[in-house]
Amino acid sequence: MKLKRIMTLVIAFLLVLSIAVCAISLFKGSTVNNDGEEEFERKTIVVDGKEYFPRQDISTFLLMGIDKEGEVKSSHSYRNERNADVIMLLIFDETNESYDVLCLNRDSMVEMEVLGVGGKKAGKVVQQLTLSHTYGTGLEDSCENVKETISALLNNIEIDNYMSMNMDGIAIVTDALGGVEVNVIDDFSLLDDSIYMGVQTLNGKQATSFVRVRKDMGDQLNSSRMQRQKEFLKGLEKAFKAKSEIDEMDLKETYEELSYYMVTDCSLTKLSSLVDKYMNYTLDEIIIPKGEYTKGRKYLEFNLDKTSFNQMIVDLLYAKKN
Amino acid sequence: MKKVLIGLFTFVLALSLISPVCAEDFTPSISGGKIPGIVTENKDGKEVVGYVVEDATGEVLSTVYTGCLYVVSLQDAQDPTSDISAAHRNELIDLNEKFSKGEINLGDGLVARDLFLADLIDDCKDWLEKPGTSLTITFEMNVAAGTDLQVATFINGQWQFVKKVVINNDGTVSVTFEDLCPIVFLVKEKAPLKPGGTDTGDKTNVALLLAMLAGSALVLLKLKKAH
Repeated sequence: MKLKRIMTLVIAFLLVLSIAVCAISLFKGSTVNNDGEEEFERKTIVVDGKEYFPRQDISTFLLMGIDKEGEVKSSHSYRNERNADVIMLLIFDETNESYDVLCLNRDSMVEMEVLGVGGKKAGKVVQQLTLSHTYGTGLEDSCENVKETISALLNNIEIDNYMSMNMDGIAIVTDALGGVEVNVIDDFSLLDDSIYMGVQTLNGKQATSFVRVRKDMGDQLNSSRMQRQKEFLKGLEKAFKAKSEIDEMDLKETYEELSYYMVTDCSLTKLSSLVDKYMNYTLDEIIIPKGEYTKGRKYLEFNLDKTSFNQMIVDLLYAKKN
Repeated sequence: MKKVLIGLFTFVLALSLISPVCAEDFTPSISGGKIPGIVTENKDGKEVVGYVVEDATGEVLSTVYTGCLYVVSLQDAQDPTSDISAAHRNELIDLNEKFSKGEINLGDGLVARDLFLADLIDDCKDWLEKPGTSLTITFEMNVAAGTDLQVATFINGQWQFVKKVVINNDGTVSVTFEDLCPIVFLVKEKAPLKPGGTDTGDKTNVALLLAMLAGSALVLLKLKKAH
């Protein structure tokens, strides 16, 4: 009788254990199966009393333009001087086969991680977005820091891939196209006497000066420089169309040359597949978040307009719950 | 390959278009890197870093102009073409390696945020040698109020914590040095925030507990019936 009771207890214990294991499995299963749902719960937001969930049909690619010349090299330090001056997030809508380009102002005041000695995380600060790239060696770790900063800014959106490129790209592409024809209306003689007034085909070096120089050039106004950029863009498009029609460029060589000036987490194969996938997507909108410039203690600060920025996040990255 | 290049061309195109627009310089846009900037004040057309004062009386003994201060970043030290002494170069590189590998630990949870070397140039070197003198330098650190920030200097092979470190309202940090040499800024590492998804474990525990309770109830019921 005693043995029977013991057996009953053991069986009951095993039963309890099996129920527990089942429950754990079930719960774990639901975590895996409903991962999206849990994420959904975690990330669901409520705006004006309506629930929105993160869109699952978008992919993102972060592009960073580094206002430096020369080959990309490690600073061999925990800091570097390569500011990210151009920050664009491409958001691909896989349902509608379109994409948006989100251009973030380099001076946007955002919270970011500080990478200390040895790349160790050393607290967070609020400062200009451009500085997020100056933490780390200037290579992948710096790009990752920008990526994390932007991800946090956009409600922890997942940023799938990134690429940063130096300004040297302008010269390389211009040379690959065999030059870009522009009408020069400013007097460059003091800076570069090879650039003369009138219609001229610029080489890579000249093109870089043409689009970037402002100081000691004409009225020194940014608006004048922007006019030159527009002129250059027109010429670039024209040259590119002409080249792609006759397909004379040595693409591989040019790509390899560009690769010295860029950092990316994508292999060439990955890049190719991404470009193949998204090449025919149509550009929906170029979005430049609104905000206000203020003068900080010493430098410009761009304060994003929170209301419109939050609305933009909802519009771009969320879908309304039915 | 061609499509990749087209994509890159588009990016380059955007670079040439957008970058200078962002570089409005009527008020300078910030540039970062290397080491924390040093806040200076303009005095008679010269940039002053700080003053060497006698601590007991507060008397100013020397004015430290920017040219009097020698600052070496780790990046400078790593650059073989930079004009710095081999001793300074090696010392900084060595310290960086030791911090990076965790071989130097100046306190639990303290993370080295910045490491650099600052010293007075040879002509001014003796200014701080007199006992009871100090020099306050303000760094552009952008440190939030309430941050647990400590500063240590490496003197004669020993790390010493600086006693007076003040985080100013504008995020700059004023540090009063009795000696200059390799300097490290340390911040207290906060406990990592619990990620949003980690509460699954708690739910599992709840499930386990519920199952155990249900099982136990069954056993008790069974035993009761047996009696």
